[in-house]
Amino acid sequence: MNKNENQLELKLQAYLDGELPTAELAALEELLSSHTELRLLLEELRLTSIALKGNELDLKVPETRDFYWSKIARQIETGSRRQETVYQSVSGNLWVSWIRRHLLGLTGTGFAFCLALLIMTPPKQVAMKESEMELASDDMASYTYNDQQQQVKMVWLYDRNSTESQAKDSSMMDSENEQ
Amino acid sequence: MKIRSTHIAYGFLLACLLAIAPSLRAEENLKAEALLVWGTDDAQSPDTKFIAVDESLSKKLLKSPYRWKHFFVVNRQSLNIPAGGSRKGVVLSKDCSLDVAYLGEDRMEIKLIGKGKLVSTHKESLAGQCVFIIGGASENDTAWFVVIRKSATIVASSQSK
Repeated sequence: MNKNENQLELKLQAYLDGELPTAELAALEELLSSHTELRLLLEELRLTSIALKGNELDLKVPETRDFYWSKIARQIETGSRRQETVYQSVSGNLWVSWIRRHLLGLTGTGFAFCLALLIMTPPKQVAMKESEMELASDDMASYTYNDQQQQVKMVWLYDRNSTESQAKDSSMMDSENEQ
Repeated sequence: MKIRSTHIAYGFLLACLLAIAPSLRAEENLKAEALLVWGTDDAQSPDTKFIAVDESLSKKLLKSPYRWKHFFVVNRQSLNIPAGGSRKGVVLSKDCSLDVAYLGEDRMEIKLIGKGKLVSTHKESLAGQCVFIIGGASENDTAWFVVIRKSATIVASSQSK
């Protein structure tokens, strides 16, 4: 195969792969239409290409001896580093890092306990909540005395008919404390 | 910051504590006592069985507008009622009894019954050391008082002696 034939074959291969420059495309197609041998060669190349594409073998590149041993060395190094980290966290030598790692959780738990205690602890100040009173008889009446300082609430019940005059007596009731 | 499994666990613990805290408080029983007290100006007890009220209660009664000079405990009944529960027929005397219901969160309902008939119904809070008293006039310029107070108040009053 001379140099011209070789170049022509390369051009045919490029044409087949769709990589031939457009400037040369028209000239090659003209050659193909006029030369039967070239058309046969193109057909042969196409068939060869199709056959190769469908039957490619999976080839494993063999590892070199150096690469094999360096891989083992890297695995040993990684394993020992991981073991060292576990040892440090467990041995207590690095309590600070352990506390830092769990600080968020501890803070959350502490907050939870404080909040729970706050909810569960009864209020120290007397909360004089709204009171309700219902008298069974219309003949009955009442006075209510409320002393926040002494933490006492007193309801005085009396009969309207029999003790009205008594209730008005200042010795029985301080008018300023009436409610 | 990465979310670790420990953080999730702590978060779960927090949620659990917050969830159970109110129910823990609500489960507490009302531990209190009801007293029938006699108010008089006589220093002498009308009955030898009647003993003078403790200093704390005496102070509260003396500072009230109803100014009798001496107070004697006629009867005393302990109350231990679960939240949502009640105790009926707490007898303080032949003519006086109570129906007590614990509504929870230191609130209680008291029904005063005199001579078998309902006299009055009260809904009150015994938060902190609050003492609730119902009173009325009696014969010979004397008075009766029904005192309701929590056990914590009883402890506090005995310590103040």
